Amino acid sequence: MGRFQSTFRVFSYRGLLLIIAFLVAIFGLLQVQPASNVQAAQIQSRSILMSNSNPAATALSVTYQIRFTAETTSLVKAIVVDFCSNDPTVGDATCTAPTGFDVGGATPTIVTSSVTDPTLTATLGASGWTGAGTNLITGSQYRTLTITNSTGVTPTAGTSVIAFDMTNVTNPTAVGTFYARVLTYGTTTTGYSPGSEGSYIDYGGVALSTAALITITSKVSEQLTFCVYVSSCGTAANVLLGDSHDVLSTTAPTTAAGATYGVFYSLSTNAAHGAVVDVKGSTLSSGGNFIPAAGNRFIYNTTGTDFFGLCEYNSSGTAPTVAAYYDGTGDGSGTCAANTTDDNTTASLTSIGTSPNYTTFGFNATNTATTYGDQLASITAPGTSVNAVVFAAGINATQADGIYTTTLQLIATGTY
Amino acid sequence: MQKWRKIVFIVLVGVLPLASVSLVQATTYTSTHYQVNQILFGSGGCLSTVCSSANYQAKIAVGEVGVGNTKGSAYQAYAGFNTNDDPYLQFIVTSSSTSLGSLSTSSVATATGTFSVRDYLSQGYIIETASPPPTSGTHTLTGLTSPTLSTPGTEQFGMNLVANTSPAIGAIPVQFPSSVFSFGSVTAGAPGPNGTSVATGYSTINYFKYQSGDVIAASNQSSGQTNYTISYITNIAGTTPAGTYTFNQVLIVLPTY
Repeated sequence: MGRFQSTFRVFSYRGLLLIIAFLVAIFGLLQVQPASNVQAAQIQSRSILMSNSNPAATALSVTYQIRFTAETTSLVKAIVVDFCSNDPTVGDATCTAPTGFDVGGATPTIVTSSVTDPTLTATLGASGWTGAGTNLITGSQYRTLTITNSTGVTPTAGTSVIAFDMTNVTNPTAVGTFYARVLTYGTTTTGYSPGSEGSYIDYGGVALSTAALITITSKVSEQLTFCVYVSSCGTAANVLLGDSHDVLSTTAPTTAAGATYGVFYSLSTNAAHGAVVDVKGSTLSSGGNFIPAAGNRFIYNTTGTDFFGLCEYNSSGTAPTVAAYYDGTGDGSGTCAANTTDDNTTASLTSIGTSPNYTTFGFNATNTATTYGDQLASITAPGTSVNAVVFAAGINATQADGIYTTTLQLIATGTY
Repeated sequence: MQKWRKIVFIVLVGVLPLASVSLVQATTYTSTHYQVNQILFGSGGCLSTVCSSANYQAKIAVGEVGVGNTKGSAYQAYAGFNTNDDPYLQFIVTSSSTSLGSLSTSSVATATGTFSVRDYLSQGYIIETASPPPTSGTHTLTGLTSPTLSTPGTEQFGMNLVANTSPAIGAIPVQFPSSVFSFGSVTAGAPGPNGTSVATGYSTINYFKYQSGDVIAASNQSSGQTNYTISYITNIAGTTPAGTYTFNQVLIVLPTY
C-alpha cells in the first residue's frame, strides 16, 4: 500500500509536469498567430520592385510596384503595406520607420490598372482604390500605405496576382536593407497596427534594399581632326598640274575629277556649331609671272584661256556647304566633272556637262590673299566630312614659260 | 527493480551511439603515443552490414539530424533548429566614383564596379540596371543595344560581368562561400523568380552591351553571397560632343519571397 501510494504520487507529480509542459507548448504555438487569424495564409511570390534604389533619389519620385499571389479566395477590400527598418515579421509589435522614407504623403498616388508591368492582370481593377498614408513619421512623411475599395475584389487563391504601383515614394536616405509587411483585409477598416493587426486575410514580409551608386565621370575635349592629302591622311598633298611632262596646254585646260589633279581633305569635329574650311594662298606664279585666278568660270569656256581655279565636291560623310566660287555650280552631278585627255601634243576636254550645267572652277584671289583666306566650305553641325578639291589651269599662247607653283593652305576652324 | 530499469536505460542510451561509432569507417588520426581511429560527430546509428546476426539484420539511426533546404514549385522549407523565418536581403553596391579623364578616339576607356547579393527565404532575385548611359547636357553616349566588341573611334558605351581580354578588365562572379551555397548568375537566360531571366549580352568575353532596364544577374533560389564585377567600356567618335559625361548607375535588386 505504501509502495502504491509512493508510485501514485510519483506519477501524479510527473503527470502534472507533463500537463504543464503540454499547455506551455500549446500556448507558445498559439502565440505564432493571433487567434483571429488562425486561417490567414502567407502570400506567395511577393515582391516590391523599386524604380530607383538610390537613397538620394528625388523625393516623391520613386515608384514601388507591390506584387503578390493571393493565398486565400476571399473578398479583399483593403491592403496594408507597412515599411519598417527592423524586420518584416507580421505580428511584431515594433516597426521602426526607415529614416527619410515616405509612402507619398497622406494621400499617396496608387495605380491599380495596368501597373508598370503590362504582363500582369489588373486583378484590382482600373479604379475604385484609394491610398492613404498613416503612421506619421515626420512632417508630411508617412510609413504605412493603406489602399481601400468599398467594393473590393475576390482573388482566386494561388493564381490571382495582385499588383499595384505607388508612384510617389521617397526612398529611405540610408543605404541598406529595409522591409515591408503586407496584409490583406476583408473590410476597409483594417484596425492595423504592428503587433495588433486586426482580422487580416493574407500576410507576408518582403525585404528591399537601397544601394550606393556607381559613378563614372569622363571628359570629352573639343575636337578637330583635319587632314589634307592625295592618297591617304598623313601623306603629301603635292599636285603636278599638266600632261605627262607636267606641261599645261593651250588647246584645253588641264583638270580631272578625283585625285589626279586634286587633293582630298577630311574634317572631323565635335564642334557644336560646325566648322568652316578656308583656302589661303595665291594663284600659280613663276617668278614675276602668274596665271590669273579663275574668278568663277565655266570650264567649257576656258580653251586658250589663262586661268587657275578649283572646285570642291563631297566624297563621303557629311556634305558641306561649298562656297559659290568653288561649288562647281552648273555641274548637276556635283562631282566637279571635267576630264582632260592630253597626248602631249593636243589636249582635249571631256565630261564638262551640257548647257547650262557646265562645271565651274573658281579662285577668288582677293579673298584668298587675306589673313584668314577665303571660305571654301562649311558644315553646320558636328560631323565627319571627306571632300575632294580639284584644280584646273589653262594657258594661252602668250603665257610666259616657266615653272608655275603655288602653296595653298586649307584652314579648318570649329565653333564650339 | 527501478534501479535495474535505470541501469538498462543508461546502458541503452550510452552504448547504442557508442556501438555505432565503432561501426563507422573513418580516417585514423595517430601520434607517437595515441591514435584515434573512429570519429563521429553526431548521434550515430548502425549499418545493416554490421548490425546483423545469422538470423536477423537491422539498420538503425539514432536521432539522425536533417537540416537544410527542401522545396517544391510553390513552397520551400528550411529544416534545422537554428533557422530564421524572416526574409533576408543583403545588397551591397560598392560605392565608387571613377574618373576616366579625357576620352580619346584612339583608345578605349575602362572602369569597373562591384556589387554583391545575398538573400534568404526567397524564390530568388534579379538585378536590373536602371540608368541611362553617360550623359553630358543633351547628349547621351550611344549605349550598345547588342553585344559588340570595343571599337575605338566609334561612340560606344557598354558593360559586361565577365573577365575580358580586350580590353583586359573584369572578373567572373564569385560565389561565396562556394557554389554549393551561392547561385547568382550572369549567364544569358539564367532564370530568376517569376519567369524572369538574365538578358543576353552581359556574359560574353570582350562583348559589351548596355540597355537600361536589362536584367544583368539573377538567381532562382535563395542564395549565399555572390560577388559581381561590372566592366564598363567607353569609346568616342570624333563627333562626340565635348563635355563632361557622368554615369550614375542605379542597380535595383528585386527579390521575390
